[in-house]
Amino acid sequence: MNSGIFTLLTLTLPILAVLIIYFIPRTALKTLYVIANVFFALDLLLALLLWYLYVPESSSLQLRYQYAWLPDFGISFSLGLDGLSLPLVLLTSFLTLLVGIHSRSVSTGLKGYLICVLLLQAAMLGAFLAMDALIFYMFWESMLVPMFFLIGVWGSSRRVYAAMKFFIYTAVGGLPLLAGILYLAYLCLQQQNQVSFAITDWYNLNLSPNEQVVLLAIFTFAFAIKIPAFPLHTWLPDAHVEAPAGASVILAGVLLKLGLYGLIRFCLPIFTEAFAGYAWVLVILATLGIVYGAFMAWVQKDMKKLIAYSSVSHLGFCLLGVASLTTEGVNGAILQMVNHGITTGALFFIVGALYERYHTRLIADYGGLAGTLPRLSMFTLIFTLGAIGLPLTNGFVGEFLIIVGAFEWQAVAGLVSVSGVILGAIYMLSWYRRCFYGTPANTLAQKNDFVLREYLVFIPLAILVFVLGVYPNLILSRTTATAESYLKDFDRVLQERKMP
Amino acid sequence: MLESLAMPVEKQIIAALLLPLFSAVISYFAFNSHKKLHVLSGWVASASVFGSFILFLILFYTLRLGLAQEVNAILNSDLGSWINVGLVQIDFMLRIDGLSAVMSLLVTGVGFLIHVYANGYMAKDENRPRFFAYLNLFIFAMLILVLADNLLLLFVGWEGVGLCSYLLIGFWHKDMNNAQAGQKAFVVNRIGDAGFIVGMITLFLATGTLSFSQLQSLAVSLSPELVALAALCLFIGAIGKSAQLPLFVWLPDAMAGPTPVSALIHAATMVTAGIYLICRLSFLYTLAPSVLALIAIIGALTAFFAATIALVQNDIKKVLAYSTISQLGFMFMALGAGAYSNAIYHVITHAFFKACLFMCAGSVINACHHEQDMRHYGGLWKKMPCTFACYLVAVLAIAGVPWTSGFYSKDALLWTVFSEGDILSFLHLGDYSLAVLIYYLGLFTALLTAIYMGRSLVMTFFGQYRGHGEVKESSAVMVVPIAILASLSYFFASRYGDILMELLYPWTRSDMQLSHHLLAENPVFKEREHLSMFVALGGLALALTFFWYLPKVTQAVAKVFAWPHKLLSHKYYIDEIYNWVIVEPLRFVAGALFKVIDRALIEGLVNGSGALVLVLSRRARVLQSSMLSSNVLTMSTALILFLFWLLW
Repeated sequence: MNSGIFTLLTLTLPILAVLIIYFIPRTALKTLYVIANVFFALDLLLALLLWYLYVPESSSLQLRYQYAWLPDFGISFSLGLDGLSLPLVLLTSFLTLLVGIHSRSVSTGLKGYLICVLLLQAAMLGAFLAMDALIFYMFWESMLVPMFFLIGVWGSSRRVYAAMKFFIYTAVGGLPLLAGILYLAYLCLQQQNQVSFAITDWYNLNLSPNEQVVLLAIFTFAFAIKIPAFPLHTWLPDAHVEAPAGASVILAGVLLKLGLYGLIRFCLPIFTEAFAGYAWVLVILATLGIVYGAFMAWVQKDMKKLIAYSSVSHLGFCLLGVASLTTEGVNGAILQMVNHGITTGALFFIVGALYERYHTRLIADYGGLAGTLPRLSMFTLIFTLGAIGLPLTNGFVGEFLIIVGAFEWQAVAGLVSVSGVILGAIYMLSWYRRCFYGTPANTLAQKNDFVLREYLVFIPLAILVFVLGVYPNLILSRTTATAESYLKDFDRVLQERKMP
Repeated sequence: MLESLAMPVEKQIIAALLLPLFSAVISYFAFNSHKKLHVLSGWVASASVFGSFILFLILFYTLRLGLAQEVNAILNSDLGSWINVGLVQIDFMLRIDGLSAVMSLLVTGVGFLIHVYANGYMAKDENRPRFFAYLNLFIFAMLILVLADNLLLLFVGWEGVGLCSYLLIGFWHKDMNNAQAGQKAFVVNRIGDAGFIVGMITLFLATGTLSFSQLQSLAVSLSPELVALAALCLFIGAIGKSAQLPLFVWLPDAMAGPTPVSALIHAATMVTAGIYLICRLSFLYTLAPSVLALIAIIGALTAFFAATIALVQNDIKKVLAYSTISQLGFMFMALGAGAYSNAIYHVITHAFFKACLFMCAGSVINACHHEQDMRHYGGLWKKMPCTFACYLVAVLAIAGVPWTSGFYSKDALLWTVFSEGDILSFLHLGDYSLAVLIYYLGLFTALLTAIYMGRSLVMTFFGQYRGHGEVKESSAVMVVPIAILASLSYFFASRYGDILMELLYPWTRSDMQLSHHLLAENPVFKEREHLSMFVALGGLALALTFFWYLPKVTQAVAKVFAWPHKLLSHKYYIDEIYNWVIVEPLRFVAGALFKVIDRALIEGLVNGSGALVLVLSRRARVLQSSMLSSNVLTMSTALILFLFWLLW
């Protein structure tokens, strides 16, 4: 049997769940919750199955599913996995399961909330799995809608402004992206005598330098908004502050990774020469993002904004790894994408847990939680340490690999990124100190330390923090073959085009 | 053979390493759950460290058997691959050679005594399991640090001990000052760590490896500039961890932690990690004489600088903290002279007498109802005779009074600085070579050491009791470990000094660094030795005279020199300077960037373009109206533009 069917199943399961949940009355909260979580869990199992079936040594696309959808237009429903998408697919289904478990705390409109999360999950998985550019674009854009509703309906006071901003920001990047995709298909027609949206077909396109630069700019613009790279990041803090905890987790944990994913999937292999020529722009933006995001995080008063800006800094690291165009850098970037998903996802859950108890996100309102909520404090500390990249927690290895890559690229880039290591400790530990140490603030009544649902969410995350810190090869063994083949092709193309 | 008696060596190393970690986990999760189990945590923690100590003793003998046959015998244990990407191939590889054997015995041995002591010191604390969990975790991290076979794994321990230090300084976190001190320690250390990372990557990109043995064989083939750069960057890491100028500011604040923590982490073990690092990489530093010179200068200046501050502090732990900084400076002096083994020698003896001093201080603080100001002590020798006796021995040792351990190690250290002129001789100041200048600065600092330690002894134990409340001698749980350390501070060097130097032979540059017994014949050495004795005894005599017999004179002198006195007691205002020159400006810049760039500029552009689109679309609405004329206008404009595009 073709094992690609599992890939398709992973993608369609959430949609199936939506169809079922649609017919359950909105008042049957428990049924809704259980069914949705069963599906989330099944999807995680499927993702684990994909992980198991995947052959780490091979760099080619695996577990492919293909259905010639509109053959006349060269559009096929084609899915596949490689070392780049596999960890992200697993991360997606893992985090959505946790969001599902956590959804118990959603007070109103659980049904709609679950439907949005399920649709979002399908869209994210689709974007990671799609090997056809138009399908990718379809999923890419369709993520916006459920996220728009998650922020706009379940968000806090300024939610409509934030949702609109999020939507417009990303749509502005998306439309030129569509134009770019259509143009590439058109080039395919010219050069290969048939329209094709298959991404792998595009790797062999012959683009003039000017075309490359313009298309690279268009694609990178769309992806950089998603990452979000400095200076296109300002939608992120607003979106996070207003979004409900679950949406924040998905947004930071998975959605942002799509920008970097696209960068590696599209820009690196298709616009090779332009990418090599303009990698320095990305490096500058990345290093600026690392330092700038850290400084911004340092002066925030709202803890969600703090973590949002820390994401800007951390994703700056990832972008730097990709732009360094080295094995260490690219592998480190993929690893760090997963790590960021885990730690930042966890930190947004933590903020959500605090908000549920005390209904404030202002750091100044907190203090002394280590005394009143010892378990929550312990988990927070673990995630904080992961975020600042302490060795043997998940953040360290990725960061180290990226810094090695940056130094290989140029020492200055490496030096600037190392300063991010210091700044990271400053803003994260300041936050932890102000919220968790000191005398408990009078306004904070004694609350339950932990409920079962929270254990279910935080324990797997905490375990992963250590597992990936001690055994990063779990991810790296899957990513190296792919990353190396990407870079090898990259160098080969550069060499070939230089020859004549 | 011992090997056949016990487990295989590999497993033994792993067991010795993991014992404290297991105990930490049990303490944190199991013993924390019930109040009745709290008392267990301390004893289980102590037992685990003791078990680890015994295992290291066995390993130590195995190693010595190996060393008898081969000079460079090493015991290894490979726990598998950690990172495996492209060039980066890092294993969880542990090694025991002379250096790591000595260090691991020190860590677990002194660590065990301090664990036992902490059972008494923390007896009334509610959070004992958490405390012992952190303390055990520290032992684990420190063991990784000293057993690591590659630089990255060493860095794991390096950051790990930093984390434990952070957690333990801020252990009583209800007081925000303690938490603040912990954070300061972590952040300042991170500045050093950034240097460490840069140095590590520099080496890695030049050689493609981080394993010590491979680095050692490849180092000679590297360009001198590159070696110097890497050595310098790694030294920045050492400056941070070992609290040298200019990154020493965290250590005095670190005294906010419970006293056993100060004894274990901030005196005996963690702060010596910087010295260990440079010894471990001695092959690299030997190739970079300019960096060695810098190390010697920074060490000497720090030693002197910290000793002057220690002269006027009134908090007993602050005196000991500055004394630690000063002593670490001595060790860096030795490293700078290329006398790596002498530096480690002093690390060991310093661990004994400084841990002893801290534990005595803790005993006094506990007895005096958490009073740390020496002006409220006095006359305690009658009330706490055991503590007094131990403190006295340790003071004699740190002052370098003959035939204590401190005398041997410090004297050997100064002697190598004096005699190993060759490595520092390329720099001159006037007629004097750098080595000789540093030697005299070191000797003067030794005098200051004897004075400020004598002062603390007088203020604490002599004269009249100036405090309030009853004072009782501490319990046996606390006194016995102190007594053991005191006796080690007295006889360790004379008994085991030779074995130690034998073990550290690969880190010895020349015969100049041999132990006292072998050097006794040398007339120059004799002369220097007498000078050292004179300095130590003279310093103590001065302290007794000025702080015991003539306190009024001293007070008058302090009044006359009010301005320098104020400067010293405010620690040269270094903290304030850092705050106003670095921290506050950075914070201001961050705030300004947020307001100007993020909110005003970028947001202005984004929202502005949003508003612009709104305005334009209102205008554009005209184009889509149902009026025929405007439709025709639009169509024709578009057609014309299209034609232009085709033709052009």
